[in-house]
Amino acid sequence: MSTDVEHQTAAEPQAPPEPTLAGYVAQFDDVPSLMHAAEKTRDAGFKSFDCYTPFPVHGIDDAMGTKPTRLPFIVLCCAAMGSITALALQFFTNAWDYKYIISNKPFFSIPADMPVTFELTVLFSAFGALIGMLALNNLPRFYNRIFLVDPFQKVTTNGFFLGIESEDPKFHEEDTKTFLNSLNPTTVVPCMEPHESAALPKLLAPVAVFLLVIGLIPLVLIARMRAIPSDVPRIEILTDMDFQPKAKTQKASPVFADSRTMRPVIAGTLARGDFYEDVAFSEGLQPEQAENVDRSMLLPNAKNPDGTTFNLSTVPWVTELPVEPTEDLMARGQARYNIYCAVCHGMTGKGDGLVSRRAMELQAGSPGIGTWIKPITLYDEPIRNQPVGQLFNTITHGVRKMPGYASQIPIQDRWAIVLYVRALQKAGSATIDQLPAEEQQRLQAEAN
Amino acid sequence: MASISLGSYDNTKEIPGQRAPLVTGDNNYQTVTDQVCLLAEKPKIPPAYFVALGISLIWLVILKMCIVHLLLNGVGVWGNMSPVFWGWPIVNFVFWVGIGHAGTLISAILFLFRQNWRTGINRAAEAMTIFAVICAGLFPGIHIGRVWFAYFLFPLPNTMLLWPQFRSPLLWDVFAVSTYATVSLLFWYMGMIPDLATFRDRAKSRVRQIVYGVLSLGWTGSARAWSRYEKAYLLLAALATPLVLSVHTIVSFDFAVSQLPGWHTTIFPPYFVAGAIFSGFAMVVTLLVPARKLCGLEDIITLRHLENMCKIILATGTIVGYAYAMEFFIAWYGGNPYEQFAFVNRAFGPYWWAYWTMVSCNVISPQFFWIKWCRTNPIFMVVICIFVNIGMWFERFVITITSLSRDFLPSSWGYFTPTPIDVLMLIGSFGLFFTLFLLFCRFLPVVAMAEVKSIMPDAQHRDPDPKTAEI
Repeated sequence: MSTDVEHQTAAEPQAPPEPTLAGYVAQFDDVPSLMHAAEKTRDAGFKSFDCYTPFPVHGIDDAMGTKPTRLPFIVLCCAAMGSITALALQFFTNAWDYKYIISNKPFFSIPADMPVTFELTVLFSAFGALIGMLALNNLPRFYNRIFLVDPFQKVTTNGFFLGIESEDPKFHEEDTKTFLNSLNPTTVVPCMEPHESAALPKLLAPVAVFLLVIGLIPLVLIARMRAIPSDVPRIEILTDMDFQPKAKTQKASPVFADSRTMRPVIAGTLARGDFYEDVAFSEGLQPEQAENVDRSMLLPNAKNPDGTTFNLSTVPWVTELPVEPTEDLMARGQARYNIYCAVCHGMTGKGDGLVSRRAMELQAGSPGIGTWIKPITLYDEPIRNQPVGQLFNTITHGVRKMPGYASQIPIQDRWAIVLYVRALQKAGSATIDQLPAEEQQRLQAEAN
Repeated sequence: MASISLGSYDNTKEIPGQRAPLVTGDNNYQTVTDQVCLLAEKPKIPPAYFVALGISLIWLVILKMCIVHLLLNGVGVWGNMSPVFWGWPIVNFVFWVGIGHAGTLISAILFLFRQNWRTGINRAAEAMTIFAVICAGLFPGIHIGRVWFAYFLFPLPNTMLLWPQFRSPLLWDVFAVSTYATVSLLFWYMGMIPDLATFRDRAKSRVRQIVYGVLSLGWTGSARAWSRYEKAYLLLAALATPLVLSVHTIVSFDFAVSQLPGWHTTIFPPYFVAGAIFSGFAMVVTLLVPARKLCGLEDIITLRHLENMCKIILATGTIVGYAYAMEFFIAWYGGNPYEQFAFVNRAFGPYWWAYWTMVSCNVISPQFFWIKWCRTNPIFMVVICIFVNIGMWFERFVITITSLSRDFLPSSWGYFTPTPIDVLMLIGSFGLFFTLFLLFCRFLPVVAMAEVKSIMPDAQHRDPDPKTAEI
């Protein structure tokens, strides 16, 4: 038709190549006439033909002789894939890779997995239905020569068309046109296939390349950032929980004058449970003379005003245990000694505890370095002669390099340890006559 | 065509031996197409549309500002506080998801039941579903506190080697609502392809030709294509049907799987689904009554369509009322003192005002639809449907808040108060919803033209008889 040729000449001012006949399109008024026409076309043996309607017409598949579609099978396969994916996902994540222990429920449980499985089955099937339908229909297909047929614009409003394509083996330029006219259509129009399609815009290729290159830049930057170490921290846009204005130990506090978060004990106050009426019990000092004792001199390495080391033996210590020395107390003292003291002082008080031995070993390997002093033997003269109060003070505040254990050992337990140390001292300095008879005989036998 | 003014034709009369026409007026395929394409093709947009769009956009902007405020300051801007840790955001989420379900029911379930009257409303209803699901998905997305970690919701490999916990209904929700949104979108888009082709073929400007041409993927109306399309439509309808039931069931599991009295009941799945359909249809009616007037679609969305929707609202509202009664009965029959207290507390405790609002709006107001006049008068319908939506919001409020505010241990009880941000976000979500819906009315086919044409009498390939109507 001349209108098609006009479309050609408007785009291509050069001598236009001849468009070829692609088929004939017949327009019909209503559904019944289209259906009859389709049946006749089918019976005439045409295969490459199609009907075009604004809505699906029931029964036209039979009128045209088309086979039912494979789409349901495709959707079934997608559904199966969805189910398997969901079950595999839940098995892998919660029952294999990182088993979630929740109230001892089974790691893999199909009833609990059903909701997600069901949803993924439906999701995959839906994709299968839509994409399968589009693929089977060869859509999207933006160019179709049938759009060039003028009256075809009505197909989506109220037009009914039947088109026979020239690829059909029974197609013949004149006979097919006559055949179509015999079906009583409103009109029959040839559909021409133009030989040249409109040229793509010239800028398309360079612009596409440019956009591709631009698009690669972020990827390159990301790859670079992942490969090179950085000495600045990451940029965090919302840092709200990283920097919290709460009071942490060792942190400066804007609230107090001395800026300390950890507050010292207020002068003149006592913690609950910290008051003892009996100074002999709580400090190991003789009650009558305790007032005159300068407590700061009881701390390790206390110095006199003239710089000499303070002599602890001048302090009025108690010489009798202020608690009742019972077997239970002795057992308690042994247990507590073994926990707190034996690590350095050894099980016998010899100063050969594991920590001490290890420290001596390390020190031997690095001469000139190291400040470890072997703990003094508890059953030797100097310590044996110390009153129990002084022993108690040593445990409480420490001495020389030993730290004080006041925060770790309650007062009662410290006296138990003092009692046990006395027992160690007796054992460590015993002569053979002080042993029971059986032990003497045994040792004599071993010596021989 | 004179048919546009015949909006008052009453096809709700039941004449024995005849089916009522579903497209009224002296309409043929051409006039139906013209009417549906009217608002989209008008060069000058009516001022009423601009006013409505303007108000919706204002509320949308307010919603955006509230969200930014929330993201910068954290979840404390809401009223969520011990013991009510789930407040308005969850209520709004369930509210919107429920509304969405009606669209899928109309599209899918009524299709399977061969209810031809669905063709006039299914496109708008599906659009409503998509927009309602968008509004619904907004709330779980922003309520998680550290929104920039929203990807934790999905089973994505991460540096902590952690996976989500698949026993949790909150995770099932992620899958369910995502699937529902995706499938609804696919179904809606697939339904629109032939109608977008109609827009393409009628397009006057080049821009419209290109845009609608791309969107309609080159649809020609080929009968072979139609047969596969119909098969795909049937399959998607069959898939979307259990989706309606399962998605809101999974949403109800958020509550039912817990141990709280008032939540831990097996009636929740069917009760929630019925409530969803109930509120969704009410929203469809609220949207379509003005839309049919403004877009001139009274011959396609007829009084019979509206009446049928009111009947469904009545039925589902009655089911919801039955569910309320059943909850009380089982609480009494089961003898669990905590459950009994929970229900008595709902009706007579500090939230009694919410409870009685809910009952009057949900149980009493739809009962008006027993009366023929009530269910065939569009304005009265809209009023009742607005009450229904209010009632359904309050139902979710009552369920969520009362069970949390008073659970097992009285020393933990507390009264929940919303903050202004809560309220603004709820109204703002309506702004989002209406903005999207108005844009849809302007740019996309409002009615499924191809489907409506297929149920007109001429579409049957027998002699068209003016007395007999569609199957």
